[in-house]
Parts: sequence; C-alpha cells; structure tokens
Amino acid sequence: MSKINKDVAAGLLFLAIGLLFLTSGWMLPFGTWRKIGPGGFPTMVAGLLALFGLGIAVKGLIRRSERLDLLSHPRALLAVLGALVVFGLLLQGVGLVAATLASTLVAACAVRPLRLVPMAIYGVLVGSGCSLLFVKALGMQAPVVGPWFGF
Amino acid sequence: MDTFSSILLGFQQAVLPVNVFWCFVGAILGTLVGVLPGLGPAATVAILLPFTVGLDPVTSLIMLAGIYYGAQYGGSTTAILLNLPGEASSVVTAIDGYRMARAGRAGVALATAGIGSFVAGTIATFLLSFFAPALAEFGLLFGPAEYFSLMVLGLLMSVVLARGALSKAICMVFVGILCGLVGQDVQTAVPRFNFGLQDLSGGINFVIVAMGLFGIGELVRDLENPEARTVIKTSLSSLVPSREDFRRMIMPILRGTGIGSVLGLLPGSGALLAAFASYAVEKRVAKPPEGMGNGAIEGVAGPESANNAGAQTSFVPLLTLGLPANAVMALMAGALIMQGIPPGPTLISEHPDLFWGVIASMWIGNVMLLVLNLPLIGIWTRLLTVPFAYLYPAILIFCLVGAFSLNNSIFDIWLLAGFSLLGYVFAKLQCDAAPLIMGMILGPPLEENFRRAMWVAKGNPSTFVTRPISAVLLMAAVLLLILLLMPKVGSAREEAFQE
Repeated sequence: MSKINKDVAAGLLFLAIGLLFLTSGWMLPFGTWRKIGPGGFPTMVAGLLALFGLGIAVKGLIRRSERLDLLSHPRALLAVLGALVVFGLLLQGVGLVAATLASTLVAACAVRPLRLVPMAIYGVLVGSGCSLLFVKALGMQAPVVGPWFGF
Repeated sequence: MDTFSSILLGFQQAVLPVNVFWCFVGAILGTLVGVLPGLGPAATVAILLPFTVGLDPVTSLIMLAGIYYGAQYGGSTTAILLNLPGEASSVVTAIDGYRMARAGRAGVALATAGIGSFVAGTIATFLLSFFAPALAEFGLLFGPAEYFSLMVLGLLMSVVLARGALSKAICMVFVGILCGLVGQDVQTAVPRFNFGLQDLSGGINFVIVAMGLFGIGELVRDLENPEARTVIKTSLSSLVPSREDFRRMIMPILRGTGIGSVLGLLPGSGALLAAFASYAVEKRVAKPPEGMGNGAIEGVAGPESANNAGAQTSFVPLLTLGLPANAVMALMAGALIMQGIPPGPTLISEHPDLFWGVIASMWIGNVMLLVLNLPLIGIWTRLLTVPFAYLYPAILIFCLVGAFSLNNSIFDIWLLAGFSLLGYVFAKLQCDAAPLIMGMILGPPLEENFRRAMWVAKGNPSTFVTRPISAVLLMAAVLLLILLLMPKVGSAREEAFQE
C-alpha cells in the first residue's frame, strides 16, 4: 500500500490505456512505411504511451512522491456520478421533468445537511424550465412526461 | 480583397440582428457561467458548446467567441471580488484586484478590468485583421510534412504550459490522440477501437470529453473543497475611476496589449503567459515598486489587457493554420469541424464571411461587455451569493441536456459519466486535462498528415527533416524539449505553477 503513490498510479493507468489500445488494434493492418495502414499510427502512439507509463511508474517506485488519497471524500464524486447515471436511466422512461427531479435529488446528497424538500421543489422548477427551453423552444428530442406514466 | 473592404464585409456580417443577438446571448451566458467559482473558460465553453451546434456556422462561432470572452470577463470578476481566479490567467489579477476590493475600490478595479480588456481587444482585433491573411498565405505553402511538424510543435507547447510533471502531460497528449482515433479510419473506412460497441463507431465526441474532464471534474473538486466565500459588497457609485486612476492605467494597458498580442500568437501560450509577463513588466517599471501587490491599479490594468489581447490573437493560429493554441481554441476547432468547416489556411479565402464576421463580432462583443457588464456587476455579485448547493445541480442538468442533445443518444450520457470519473482520477493523479483535449483534436489530422507525408516521400521518414519549413519546426520542438529537460528550467516551470 505504501508503494502506491501518485506517480506509480498514474504510470500504471497510462500503461493500462496503452495496452488496451495495443491489444484492441492488434488485428488492424499496420501497412508498410510507404502506405501506412489503419493500425500503424495508433500502434506507435499506444506503444509510446505504454512505454512512458511504465517509465513513470518505475520512477515513482524509486523516487518518493505524494501519497495517493484517491477516495478521501467519496461523497461528492458518488453523488455527481449517481446523478448522471440516474438521469441516463430515467430520461426516456419518465421524461425530462421527473428525470431532472431524480437527478437533482441524487446530486443533492453531495452536500450536508441534505435539504430534501427545497431540493425537490428546485428540481421540479429546473426540470420544467429545461422542458420549456430545450424541448418546446429548441426542439430537443426527449419526452417532457415519459411513457412510464402511462400517457 | 484589401483589408479595409474585408473588415467592412466582417461588420456587415457581425451587425446582422441574428449575429448581434447570439453574440449577446453568448457573452451573457459566458459571463454567467464564468463567474461561478471554479468554472474557467474551457469548462464554460465545453458546457455551452452543444447549444451552438444548431446555429449556422458564422453565428455559432460568433456565439462561441462571445462565450469565451464573457467567461474570461467573469473569471476576472471572481478574481477581484472573491480572490478566486476562475482560470489560470486571472491569477495575477487577483493579487492587486482583491486588495483594491478590500480597500473599497472593487468597482474601480472591475471597471479598470473592463476598460483594459476593451482597449486591448480593439487593438488586438485590428492587428489580427492585418496579420492573419499574411500568415494564412504562408500556411498555404505547407504540405503534409510541414503540418505534421507544426502539430508536433503545437502539442509540445501545450505540454509546456500544463500543470504537473512533464512526462505525465506528454502521456495525456497520447491518451488524447488515441481517444481521437476511436471510430473508424478515415482513409480506409476500417472500423477501429470501438471495443465492440456500435455506439462508438462514429467516434467519441470531444464535447463529451471536455465536459466530463473540465466541467464536471471541476464541479466535483469544488464540492470536495468547500471554500468560505465572502463576497465584497460594491456599490455602483464607486464604479467610475478617477482622473488619477485613468492617468495611471493608460501605460499599463498599452504595454499589456503589446505583450498580450505578441504572446497570444505563439501556439501553446495564449492568454496565460501574457498575463504573467505583463505583471512582471509592471512590477519592474512601477515606481514606487512597493505599490505592486498592495492594490495597485497597474496590477489590474496590465494583466487584464494582456490576457484579453492574448485571447484575441490566439485565434490567429487557429483560423490561419488550423492549429489551436490552447484547450479553448481546441474546442473552437472542434466546433468548426462539427460545422463542416475544417480550420486551415484556406478558411479565409473560402469562408471570408466567417473569418471577417467573427473578427468584427469580437470587437462588437467587447463593446457589449463594456456597456452591459459594468451596470450588471450588481447582478453578478448577487449571483455569487447564491449557495453553491443550488447552483451545481442546475449545472449538472445543463451538462446532461447538452450531452444528450448532441446526438439524442443516451449512450453519450454514459460516456459523460465515464469521462467525469476519468477526469476526477486524472486530477487526483495531478495530470492536467488540457493536453488531452489538444491531443484529441489534433490526433486525427496528425495521423492523416503523417500518412500522407510518408506516402509522398515513398516511405522515407527523412522527409520531415529535409524539407526546410518542417525541419525548422521540428528543430524548435526539439530545442523546446531539451530546454525543458534541463533541470534549472524544469524546476522554474514547476515553481511558476505553484500559484
């Protein structure tokens, strides 16, 4: 645990992304130097990324760097990501107003104290405002009140 | 077409009611989001970009430019009133501006920033209209090899100005390039890197990435570190600078404009370096020097003019060579590409209405900001007192609606969540996201030009060093790299970013 500092973690992340693209592009034709195929350039970049990532990680192991505290305050991150996911899951089912309400309530969990009632009213207001502006006025392709309500 | 009639053409475009209207909306929205603490110009542009897509190209770019300088203006407002620079380039404004505000001269400081930005914007706009066509003509000489080298230089410059370790910033560029290549190969239409997902076959939209990395990433960080915000009350009566103030701000504004206009032209530097350089100069010429840092009006006038002039001239490399100078310009480049107008040296000759229209509208936008924002300062400060607890859900919903409306696709919302998480992790690992966006925008043309250059040179990579312009550009890149790797310069760079 003590070995994992910011440099090691960043290096490993870059190495992983590099390897992901290397393996994913493995089957693409590299081509020749004269006529480079679809796999040529990405393979070079991904290879360099993996190499650099490895270098950063090794350097991090040798030299001390700041300790990693990735999830010291998970509350804000989880609430915000939760709000994004809830909106995505609900939008086409319940429509923009209800999805906004749900998303606002989840996002509200990021700060304490949690004020449910004012945030719920606020969510409905924002949702209605967005429906008027984006769906009615600007023609966004989303239901205001979704099919899950039986309309 | 001579410059004069070109500028006339630009003004004909810019004063069309539809363009004036959207320029106004952009400037106001930009200021609105820009004054929100923590959201800098890149985040603001990313959040608002989806709403410009439906407009026609000229109007859309005019609105985006409005958003950009509105956001910058908003950034200096928070720097002065809250000591919270919304972006790196108003860090120096906060030094003297906040002191002025505490001494009861907040209105004067804000007015100085506005006047300085306006004068600088006006001068820089005219410089732009004289230099840009010449540079574009030079750009027409470029073949694929030259473009490849130019982009390598541009990417390296973006790395220089990134926060955190150099090696990490370079890796972020690589990650960005790879993200930009997802979808299918343009030359052969072979699908690649879609990881078996049909939704990825059209590529990853850069707006989603920028929104996740800048907008939502910064939002989460603000939520994690709630700072006590005490807004300094300002009354409208104290807005007008005194005669003495005017006398003291003239020279700093002109010096700042000069410094900003030149530094803004360099790819990679933009407004940030300009503001720092201007502050350094003002500090040197100030008499008595003790005044600087203790609420000197020069310390607001110089850097604010410099960063606005730099912001204006940083459009030059984008509109003439297709090379974005910073993350915001990369977003502009992306917006142009989405409109079907790839930025490059032929842009001025093929779309003169767009080029000159945008230039003229910049000036109109500057006038608007000056006339509208000074009286509206009261509203902006009141907005700053709205609890963040009520602001951030609305920003989130705005991002979500924007992301969804790009393609009416729920998949884009999953991507947004993914890149928000990635942005959070990168921030925790001290990896700056700006180079990633630069890489993502420049990745596809980089590959394209590399392949074409190799084809023309029959597979001989020495073409990049035997063609003179390409060789000079690459040499500059190598010199820059060597300079950065020298321990003395490297540590100076790291110090510069420690506030």
